[in-house]
Amino acid sequence: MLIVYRIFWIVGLIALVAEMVILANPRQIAPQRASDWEIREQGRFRVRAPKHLRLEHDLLQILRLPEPSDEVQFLDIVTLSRGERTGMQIIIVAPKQTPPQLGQMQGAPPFNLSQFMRRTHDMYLAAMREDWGNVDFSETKRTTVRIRGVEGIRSDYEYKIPHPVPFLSMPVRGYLITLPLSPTEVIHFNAYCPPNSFGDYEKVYDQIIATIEVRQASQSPFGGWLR
Amino acid sequence: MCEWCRRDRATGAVARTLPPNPTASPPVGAPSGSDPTQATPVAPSSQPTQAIPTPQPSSQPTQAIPTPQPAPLYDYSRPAGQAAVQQQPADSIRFISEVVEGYTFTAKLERFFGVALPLAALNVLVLGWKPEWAAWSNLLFFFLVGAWLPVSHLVNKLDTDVELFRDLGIVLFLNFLCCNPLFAFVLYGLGMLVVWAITRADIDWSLLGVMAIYVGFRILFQLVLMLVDYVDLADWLSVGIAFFGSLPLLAMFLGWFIGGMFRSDYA
Repeated sequence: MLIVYRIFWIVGLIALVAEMVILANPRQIAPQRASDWEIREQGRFRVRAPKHLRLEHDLLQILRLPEPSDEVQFLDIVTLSRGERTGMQIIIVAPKQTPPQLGQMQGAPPFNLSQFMRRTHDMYLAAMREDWGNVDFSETKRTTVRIRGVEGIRSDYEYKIPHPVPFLSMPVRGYLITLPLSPTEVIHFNAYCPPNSFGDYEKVYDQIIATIEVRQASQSPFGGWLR
Repeated sequence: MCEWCRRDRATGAVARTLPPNPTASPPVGAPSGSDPTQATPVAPSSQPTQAIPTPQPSSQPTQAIPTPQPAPLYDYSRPAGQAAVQQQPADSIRFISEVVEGYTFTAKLERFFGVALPLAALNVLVLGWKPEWAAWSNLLFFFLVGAWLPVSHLVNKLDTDVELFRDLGIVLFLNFLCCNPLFAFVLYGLGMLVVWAITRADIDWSLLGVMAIYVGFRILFQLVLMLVDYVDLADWLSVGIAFFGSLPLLAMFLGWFIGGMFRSDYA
């Protein structure tokens, strides 16, 4: 009977080695096939994203975000993530005080959306820099981008996820894109991934940004209770 | 001539003869008239004989084959009672035979891995095909492996051994605390080494072996999930309190407990 077990473990070992070799060659870095993507809807967002990026639409996440300033409020948030080091966060922000409408309150300073966009962009980066979960945060590049006909700001950054054992700290590379969403709203796209797979995942994130759809606030099923 | 080893008593030469006939054999040395080869003292002119010289009268037809004289296996010329056996000193123990109960350790390992490795190959197949099923697939795998542990006789079953349950609790708590099974295994191993170094007590290392098997399979499955780009290395290295990450170990211990109920103690 022992010979039977011997045959089984030898065959099992060979099968294991063969499977590992097949999985490693080629190693899948980012979703490649169209069948790996699916369309998902959460809140105001309709996103076409890879299946292995888990979608989280928990409005309590807003409480976990870095402390906003007195002039900014978060309206909605959705997170696509695969672990701690790969993912994208999409946040809609608006000024806390409703901007004055045209024809009302004459004499009030006009609301400058581009100025508000730059300010929220800087505040977001400052909050990431102060986050204890991000060590050695540094903004490496800032450029102006045009996405779907709209001009916005892109900042590339790097940081490390700290670990009790120093040499096990994991580096992260990402970028933050801020675009005007409506006359009173701004949308942030915070995308991050390991540095060695940045080239592959940048294309994935660009596809997500290019195909995302955001409903108007009046169409939100939540009735805008955050306002 | 010795009747049993067919050697000449004086020279030790082998005499090729027929085996002794128990039914009709005259006494040794007695001359036989029917033996044509027997050399008998007769008058040289009276009786024609086929003089085949034989060294000694024998009841059987004998053909002495002169052979080089090797060292006799046993010196039959020495009277009995003087066996050339070294006397054992009075205070030593001479092991005559060894009694082995059940399987050897390598046989137990082969029995265990004969089931565990094919199951692992199946689990890797599932993980590569549907990585989102990793949680359930790993739970089932470790439950089955834990159930096979006592049945394969690699480890003892979980009986009413308070110390073993205490060690299981310590290992589970370390896994909850460290989140990473590798860190928990290293901590537990170091702790056991320190305890052994200090107390020199008789420690049961079988749980450490079970932990090593668990950590080995966890690393393998995590590697598979990384190869299919489902998890990241940073998630594996994170240290922190986590309950769900320790569920596979809990499943393994549960399987160990249940498997012990089906174990046959007569291997």
